[in-house]
Amino acid sequence: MADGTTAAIRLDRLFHVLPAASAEEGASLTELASALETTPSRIVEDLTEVGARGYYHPGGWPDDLQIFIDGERVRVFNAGGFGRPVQVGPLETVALALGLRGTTAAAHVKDPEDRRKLLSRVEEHLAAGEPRSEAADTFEVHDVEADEGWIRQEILAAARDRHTCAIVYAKPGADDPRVRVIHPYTLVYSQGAWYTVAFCTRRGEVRVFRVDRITEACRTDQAFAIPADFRPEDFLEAGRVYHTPSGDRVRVRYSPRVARWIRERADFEGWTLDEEPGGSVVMEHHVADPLWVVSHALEYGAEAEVLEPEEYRALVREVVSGMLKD
Amino acid sequence: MSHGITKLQRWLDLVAYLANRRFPVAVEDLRENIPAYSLDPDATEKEKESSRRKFERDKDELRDLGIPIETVDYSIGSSGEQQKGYRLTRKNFHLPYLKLVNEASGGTRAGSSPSHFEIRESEVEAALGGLREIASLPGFPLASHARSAFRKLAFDLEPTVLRDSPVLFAPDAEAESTADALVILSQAVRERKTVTFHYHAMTRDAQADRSVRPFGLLFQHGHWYVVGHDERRSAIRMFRVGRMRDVQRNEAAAGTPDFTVPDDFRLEAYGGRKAWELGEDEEGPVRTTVLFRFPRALWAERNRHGELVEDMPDGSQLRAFEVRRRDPFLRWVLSLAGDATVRSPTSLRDEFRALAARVAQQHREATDG
Repeated sequence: MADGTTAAIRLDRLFHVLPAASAEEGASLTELASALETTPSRIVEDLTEVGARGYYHPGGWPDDLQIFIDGERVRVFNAGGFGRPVQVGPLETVALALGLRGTTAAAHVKDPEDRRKLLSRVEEHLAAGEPRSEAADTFEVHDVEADEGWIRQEILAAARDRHTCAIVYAKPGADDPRVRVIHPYTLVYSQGAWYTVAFCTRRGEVRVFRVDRITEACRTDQAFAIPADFRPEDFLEAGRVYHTPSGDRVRVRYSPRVARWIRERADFEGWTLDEEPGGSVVMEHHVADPLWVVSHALEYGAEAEVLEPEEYRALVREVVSGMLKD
Repeated sequence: MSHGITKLQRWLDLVAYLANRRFPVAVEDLRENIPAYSLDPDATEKEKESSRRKFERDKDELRDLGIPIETVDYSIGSSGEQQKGYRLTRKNFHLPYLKLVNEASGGTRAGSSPSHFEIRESEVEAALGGLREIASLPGFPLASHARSAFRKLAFDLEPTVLRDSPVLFAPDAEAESTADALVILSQAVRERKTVTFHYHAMTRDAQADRSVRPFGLLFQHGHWYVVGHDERRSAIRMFRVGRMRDVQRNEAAAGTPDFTVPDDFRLEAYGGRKAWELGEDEEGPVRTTVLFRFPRALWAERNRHGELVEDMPDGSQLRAFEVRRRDPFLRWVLSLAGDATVRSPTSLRDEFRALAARVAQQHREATDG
């Protein structure tokens, strides 16, 4: 199944390739391969099967089915019953129902009732077979639900239209919320949280802002451009978002009581842990924001200890001592 | 006659033949015109039966793939004799042309017909953007279906309408490593089949085999969960898919559901629960208040953490929580790094201070001993 050679996968590919290649200008093999997550040679193999049917003219195939593969482009003439894409299938409808319900993009149609009507229209006019979208109720995508996040919508709209956005940012540990004007280049979802990677006009550099700390957001009419060398992936490391590509290395010890959770994550992510006698583990974190590692360690209560560097231990002491003065 | 014809070729021939016929087609007609089903004049009954079974299998598999091959009764000639035939109408098979309509005018919805479908730009952005996001969700078991739906809906649209999404889902090693299990689980959820798996319950650090009626799949905090009826505990439980091993779906009585989902079950009710809202301490739940300093109070309000009890003149807020498990709650407040403190009840406030004191003491000690 994974190699893309089952009859079902090949038929599904041909349902896209044949209509696309039936366009007047044909279709690019590279673009088709990219859209279908396969290789150009695999598409050529699929078309060879179609060509064989055209050659033998079994019932249903037009006598003059023609396939031209001219280097990079493919063109098909007289594809018979394959000149249009086929209707949306049952599981595709389920995916659409989820996409219309649980995503940031779904907010383009703000009213949930309008989204439901759109889905009904799609099922009525575009979908094959009996309505199946109710099967989407067996899925719940909590982190990307559209209705709670108007601030995220505002930032998303600014990012999509490339307009600057004024935000109020409640940074942990700060005395006051800070007003910033940002150029939101992209929104990133990572490990249960949303971030925007944006150019901060005050700092004059690209920064990462956690969306749940933005308490107000307002698009402006001022346009911005994204630098050609910007890559959001540069702000990711092992699926986590970093505030700057540089940062400190901080060692944290986890007690035997919580070490299994750390080991579990390390197994998935390929992190290196130092196992200690007695069952505790030590992990070295790449830290861009000192308060992040303080918050992270405190989340484990007394089961985690920042070992080094000393200034990070001192920061934990300072934060916790402040709590005891209340 | 059918020797050497692949399944893909059989399917292509069958679909092409049916798609080009306005009227229903009898099996005999298919045998005459589709090489894979054709028979020699002196074919035995066994060969005829084999050909018929091959066609039945192909028809059923194509239907499972969403090709709407209909079985219809129709009459032949003037005699009115009834016969069974097969039909694939273009109206049901081919996607109508998608036509973008003016956003301001709202379009003429009544204009959608079997040959074309009117859609607004905002609807295109919601549908295509939603499909693109869902397909990007780490480990999402219907990702390939979301991508193919995207390709179909985008087929007639100008590239300018298909703007790149400024949303990126960071790769997640756990979600991606569970992709195979999620495919099994999502099939089981849809078909209402019981699943078995080996599970590591982290809180108790215990491993055991489980048998569960899966009611739904939930993605939150970057992880996939199954919510279903745990037969061992005889209660609804959540299981993290990344902690399952050897996931198996009940293959017995295929096509027959093993269970029904209770009418009052709502999957969304299990989303967004915090660690302190799950399970219960021996002391029972406690209502507690937490003081959030300004500007962290803005964050608490914006993210609906607790209920507002009192707005303070300096911008801080007192907010109330219903806590079922004290330890995770206290650690969460502690992780707010001084921006929040427990105010009541006194017992919980004392516990919070004791925890903070332990952490302070721990970080005073030398690390090299």
